[in-house]
Amino acid sequence: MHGNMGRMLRLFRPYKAQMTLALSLEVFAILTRLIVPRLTKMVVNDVITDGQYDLLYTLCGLIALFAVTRTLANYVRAMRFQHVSQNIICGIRTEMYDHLQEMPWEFYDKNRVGEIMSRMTGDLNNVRNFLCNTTFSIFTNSLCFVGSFVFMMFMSPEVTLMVLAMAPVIAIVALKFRRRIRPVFQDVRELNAVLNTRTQENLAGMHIVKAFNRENYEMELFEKDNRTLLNKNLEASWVWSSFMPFMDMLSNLCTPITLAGGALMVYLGRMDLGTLVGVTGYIWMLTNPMRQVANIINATAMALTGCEKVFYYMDLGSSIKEPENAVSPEEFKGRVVFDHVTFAYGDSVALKDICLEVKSGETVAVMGATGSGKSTLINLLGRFYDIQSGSLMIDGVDVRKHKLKPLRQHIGFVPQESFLFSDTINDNIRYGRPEASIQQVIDSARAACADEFIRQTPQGYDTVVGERGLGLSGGQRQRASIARAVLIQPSILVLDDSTSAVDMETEYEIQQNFKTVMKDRTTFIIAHRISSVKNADQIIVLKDGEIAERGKHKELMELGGIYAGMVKDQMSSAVKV
Amino acid sequence: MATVIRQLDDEQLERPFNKKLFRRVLRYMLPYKKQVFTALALMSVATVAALGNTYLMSRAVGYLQNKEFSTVPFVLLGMVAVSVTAMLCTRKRIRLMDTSGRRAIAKLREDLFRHIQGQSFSFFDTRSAGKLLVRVINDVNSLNDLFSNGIVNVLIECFTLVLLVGIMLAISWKLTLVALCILPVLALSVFKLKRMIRVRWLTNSIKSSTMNGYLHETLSGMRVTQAFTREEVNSKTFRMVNDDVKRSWIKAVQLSTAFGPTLDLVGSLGTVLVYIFGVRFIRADTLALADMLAILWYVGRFWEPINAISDFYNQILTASANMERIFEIMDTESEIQDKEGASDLPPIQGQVSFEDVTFGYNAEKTVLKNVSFDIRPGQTVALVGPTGAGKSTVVNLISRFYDVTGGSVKIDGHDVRDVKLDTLRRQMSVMMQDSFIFSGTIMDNIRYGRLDATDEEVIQAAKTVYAHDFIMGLEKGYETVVNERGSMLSQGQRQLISFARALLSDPRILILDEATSSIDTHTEMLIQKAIGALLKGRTSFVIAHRLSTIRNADLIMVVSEGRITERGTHDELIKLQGGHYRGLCEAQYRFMSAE
Repeated sequence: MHGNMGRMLRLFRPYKAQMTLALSLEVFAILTRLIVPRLTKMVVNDVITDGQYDLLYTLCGLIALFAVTRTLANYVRAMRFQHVSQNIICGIRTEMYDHLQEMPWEFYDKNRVGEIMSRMTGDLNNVRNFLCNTTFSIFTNSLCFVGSFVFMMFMSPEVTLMVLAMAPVIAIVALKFRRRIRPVFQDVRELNAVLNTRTQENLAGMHIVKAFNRENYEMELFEKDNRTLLNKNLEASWVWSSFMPFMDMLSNLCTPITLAGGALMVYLGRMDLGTLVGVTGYIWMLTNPMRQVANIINATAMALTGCEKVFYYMDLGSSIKEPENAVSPEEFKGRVVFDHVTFAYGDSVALKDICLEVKSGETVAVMGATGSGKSTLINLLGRFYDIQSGSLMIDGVDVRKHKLKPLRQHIGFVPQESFLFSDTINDNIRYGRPEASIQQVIDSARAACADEFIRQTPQGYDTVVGERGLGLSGGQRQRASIARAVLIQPSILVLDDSTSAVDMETEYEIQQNFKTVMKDRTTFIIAHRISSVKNADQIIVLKDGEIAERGKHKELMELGGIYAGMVKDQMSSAVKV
Repeated sequence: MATVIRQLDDEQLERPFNKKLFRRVLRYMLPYKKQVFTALALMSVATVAALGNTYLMSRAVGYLQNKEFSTVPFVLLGMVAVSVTAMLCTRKRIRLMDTSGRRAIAKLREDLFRHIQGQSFSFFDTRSAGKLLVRVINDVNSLNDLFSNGIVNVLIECFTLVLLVGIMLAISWKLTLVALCILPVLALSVFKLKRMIRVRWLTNSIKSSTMNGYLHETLSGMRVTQAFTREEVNSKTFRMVNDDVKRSWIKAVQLSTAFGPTLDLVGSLGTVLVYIFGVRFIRADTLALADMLAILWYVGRFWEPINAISDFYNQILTASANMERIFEIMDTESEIQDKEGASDLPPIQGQVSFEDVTFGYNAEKTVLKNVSFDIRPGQTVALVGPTGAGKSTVVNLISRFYDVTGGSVKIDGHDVRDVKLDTLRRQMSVMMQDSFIFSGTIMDNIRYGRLDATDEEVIQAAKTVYAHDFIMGLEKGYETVVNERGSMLSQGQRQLISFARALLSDPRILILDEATSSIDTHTEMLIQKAIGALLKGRTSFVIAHRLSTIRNADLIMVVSEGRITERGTHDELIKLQGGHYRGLCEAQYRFMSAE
């Protein structure tokens, strides 16, 4: 915890000069505030009681002068704090982002996007709040408290001590309040999330709700969650109302206490009226810091948990980095060799002792049941994961010695879930090659049998798709995603079950197109349909992470194993004409 | 290179004040009239108490000045009493208003949700789930503060202002006028500044949303980014959006930071004025010291109500935008509703007929043209045809998710528009391509088909559709908790669960949109068998992709460009030279076997 606090404060280091300026200005501002009650005292005593009326204009001039300079000082100070904290936070944010872009896929397997998002928004905001507000609040409140205490002591030690007795009471109540309200607020946040999820599911599954006529049932569930949230909110307001007005009252009571003490002193002739009026001017400055104690502790605790998570992300090193002496083959030809490759996600082994040699321009089909390791195998190609043992060579160089960028630029990857960004179709297709011309984009789309449906969208290639745009069907998304891979003209094309939502005829057409467009390129294809794989140069069947069968269609049919069984099953549902 | 950062196309964040909408929301507060008035009364007492406190303080100084020491303790006791009263009133007020306001808002949220439940498919076609979610959660939430506190507070603050000026005038009208000459400056600067600050914060919040949107999307698509080595471009873009956020933030704080110091300055200048004129009046013996102090202290209390009123003004503008969005939905009538005097649909046999049905999702484009057919109870109908030809439309009309534009859809001779919707849909079951899984146990998910089904019935249904084995293979069997993303379950498994769900509801008419996504061969065989079990003994419409399903159907209808171009059994259609269906079969067979 302390380490993190130190690290957070060290973030200020590059801004030392600005911070020194800001804090000096704050000292000045507080001093001018502390002087005003003394001036008030002089107005009452010297001007009004003793009749030195000439002094009034000097005093008023001073008050005005202080007010103006304080205003300026406060403004400059506050803006310095804002600039510094914003620069720090923006710096952290971009650093985190760059960092996240380097993280291996394993990281994204384990961390949900929502979680990462809350690190970069909520948690980071807590850190910002600490840097900008809390550090300042600690500084200014301590200064205020000490300053008003000292100035008050000069005026009247007795009265000061009386008021001071109230300070711990206020602080204790404030702390108790914080302890009581925190769990309730936490519950409120959680229940809010529950209601949110409930609604989100209901809306996402609306067609099921309607199909099963479950509107009333859904209404009941929603009402239950809504009422629970309501009750928790009311509990929060109950706690709030038990404490806040009470704390206000305690602060307010400081005035009659001061006056009582002062009155007694005046009665005893040990204090004059001006001093009494002056002293009242310090009450707020002395008690307010006590009320802030709880807020400061709260914000600090939140910043500490926040920064812990933020720093954790910043410190995560990507395990996948190119070495100093990384190389790139002179020409990418797409020769791939798996040499006794073993890979595990954590403890669970996904691939065991895989040996596979693929010549330039060959097509390799990978088959097997769900979870047999098909996707894992092809994800190793772009070094999205690192293998545990064995080696994977592309064009004669181990992938771990390749320069990462050129390696990945030569692999056209069509993932299982075709992700499209909220951007135009045009920009989505040229995602990997932003400088591509529109003609090249159209050619790739044609090869992927996507051109036709794209032209039918409202703005053609300029139609915005993705989450915030036009919704495309699964098959359409897959075809756009194939076009994206074709456009970069890769030496190795990887199709991870990427025509599953495309009908057989279109799939066949794409395959025919590829014969010219993807000529001489190595292709890895994962598919379930026999029709998609049977023309491959090599077919491998994975079972529990091992290659169970390999060969050409004919050879595997003769073998009569898993592959032949799959073919039989699928043929049985086909129809002879 | 065009890096297009798409601004959130979201609605405006502020709208001009709309009295009518405001009144509609206020109507939700009607049941709490009594509480609101009590709260107002309590607040008035608290206000009088707070202002009285300052007055008593000045009196205490006055008595001390005049050496009337014996009165002072009573004044101080009075101050204590007043503080306690203020505390008690405020506490009660917060409780009353929070309870009423939050209850009213909860009711509004429920009404909104209920209204959404009653909407037809065309409503959901044009609105994304994300946007609707924001209506139900965020928009309603942001009304909360306005109704729990805003309205009562602003009334009280107005009352405070009047009371404040009244007391001051009573104490010394001359000094009051001097002191209040800063009031217009104060009020004006607060109002102007607050307005500008608000606008700048809105800009900042738009920029932040844009950044968050970009962040969310690039994180979700990080695999694609890495695979296509787009990191540098994205990094540059992110720096740009991040910078935008920073700049807009600084612009906003440039003003909002000026706010406090400005108030301080105006307040101090007011103090100086009161001193200069107050001392002059005291010299002329027309003012007591205590009165000057009272005025001085009261001047310091002015900015609070003014501040609160200007906040309220801003709050209203934001709330107007929220209210508008909420009521836009509330005012959208469902296109599919029970006719007046609609009767219950009696238990059906499952005979379905389309009589000259024409339909279009909008006026420009007709999707179905004069479609007629007649299906006997128990028949399985396979709908075949290219994407967008109108297959889904046919099935959507049967369960009246949309209403026909011409002709009629009849079930057992009843026009679907003449019967009560829930009695119609209760007797049929619809399964869409993507098998939706709710978060909860597998047991609950299946039971969604019939809420009163026993565990045994659920398990029996799962067994019938071949889902039992894989469910038992999960760690907690039927009690395994799954969720919408359902990463635990494969596509095929999700389908089997949704089959069990449909079977449990035991519909007379079953509608199935077969999923196209490919599934590993083992699960695929199970699904084929499950479909067989599911269709048995009921009228079924299947948008079919599997040849096995198509071949086993009693009737195959080829839908093309909004018409039924071929109909018959497999054996009949296969003989149709040059027919669409024959072509389809030939192609499929060719893919399977040809080299």
